[in-house]
Amino acid sequence: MNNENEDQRITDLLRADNEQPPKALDDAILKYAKSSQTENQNVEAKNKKRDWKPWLAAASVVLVMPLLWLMSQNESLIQSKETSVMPQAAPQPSAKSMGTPALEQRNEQRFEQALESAHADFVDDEQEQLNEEDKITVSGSRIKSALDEAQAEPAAYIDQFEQVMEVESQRSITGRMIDHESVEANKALLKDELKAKKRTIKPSNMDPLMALEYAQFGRYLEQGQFDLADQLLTEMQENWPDFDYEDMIYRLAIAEANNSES
Amino acid sequence: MLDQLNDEQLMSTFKQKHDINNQRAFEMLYARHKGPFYRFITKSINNEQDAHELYQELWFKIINNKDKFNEQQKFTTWAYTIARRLLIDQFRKTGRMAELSRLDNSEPDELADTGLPSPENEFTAKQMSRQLNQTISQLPHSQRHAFLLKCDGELSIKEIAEITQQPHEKVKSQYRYAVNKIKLALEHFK
Repeated sequence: MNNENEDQRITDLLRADNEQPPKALDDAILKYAKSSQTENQNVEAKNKKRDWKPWLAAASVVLVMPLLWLMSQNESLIQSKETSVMPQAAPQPSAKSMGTPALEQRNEQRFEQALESAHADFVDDEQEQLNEEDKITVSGSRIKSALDEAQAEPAAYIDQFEQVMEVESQRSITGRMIDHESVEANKALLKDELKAKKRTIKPSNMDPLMALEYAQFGRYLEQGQFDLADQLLTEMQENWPDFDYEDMIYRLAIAEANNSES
Repeated sequence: MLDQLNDEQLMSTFKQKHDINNQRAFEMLYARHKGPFYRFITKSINNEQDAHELYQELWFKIINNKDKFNEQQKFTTWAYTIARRLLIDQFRKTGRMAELSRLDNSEPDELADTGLPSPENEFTAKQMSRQLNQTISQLPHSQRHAFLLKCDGELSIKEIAEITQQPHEKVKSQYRYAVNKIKLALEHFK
């Protein structure tokens, strides 16, 4: 008991000293605790942002696919535009609105201008155009000299003009040669991909109405009513466009072939 | 509200990332233990600058490892274990490991179980306090830790044994040696 009391007195004496850390240390430690909490929250916020990243990636893929498809469409549009615009570069006024001599004169002028431009480019930059794929540029002096030459012997340049136009029609708006094969290949790829996204016709995928139509289609095939089956197939394609009807088309074709054989 | 929570509950609140009271919980915990932790380190090292660094490191470790703290465990046991490891590392760095492991060879019989004088006035109390600190700083580390953890850290012998990873009886005897030495040192104030 005496021992316990004395121990307690030593403890009291020790605590009476009550030595404390300096205030600067207190502040540093409390500040560190606070900053670590903020840091944790920031890390958590970052992680939350990171959670969105897969969704953003998926969304961007969904956006990019139609864009690629549109771009390929645009490429073919540009090509068709170039082909259609080049031979008749300037719009021609109707014959009714102008007198015949004036019309002839104006047409002649336009033809000459087009000829001059083509001739100038052909003569000066023929090799560059074909090999380096540069854009056609026309300077005033070149127009003048080309005009003189064209006036001297216009018929000689008509063939050259047509050749140039043919070459130019193969160029895209960027001045590069259009690779038709790769454009077609890309289109085919995109079509396949778009098709691949279509839903397979299965009882679990179909709504009740579609299931009824599908059953009716089967009955038409059994009964040999191919016209009705074909009509129903067309209607189904219109009403449920996100399904893949290849299998049904195949079934119809087989049924028709079997029927014609028998 | 927060001051009614025990240390473990305060640590638990501090761990909660979205609790608006987490910072206040830490402040409360810090206010409760800063003195004992500080004294434990300063009295273990006898070098003010190193003691300050270690003390700061101890709290940084508590903050950084708060997620590893198990609420079933006693906070002070956990924190003093970290503090002791830091001290061991420090002794290794300064080549004082032998001092840490050295056991006191003095026989208990040598230390008379003398009664402790009570401070008659403030001057005597200050004198006694100075003598006490000096005696503590001269104790072997094992006894010093046992004494400081028991008296200032308010830990039981069992908890000290857990922290220092020593048998219960050994810790008990280390503590008794330390107390007897201190009593002897304070004898002349009688």
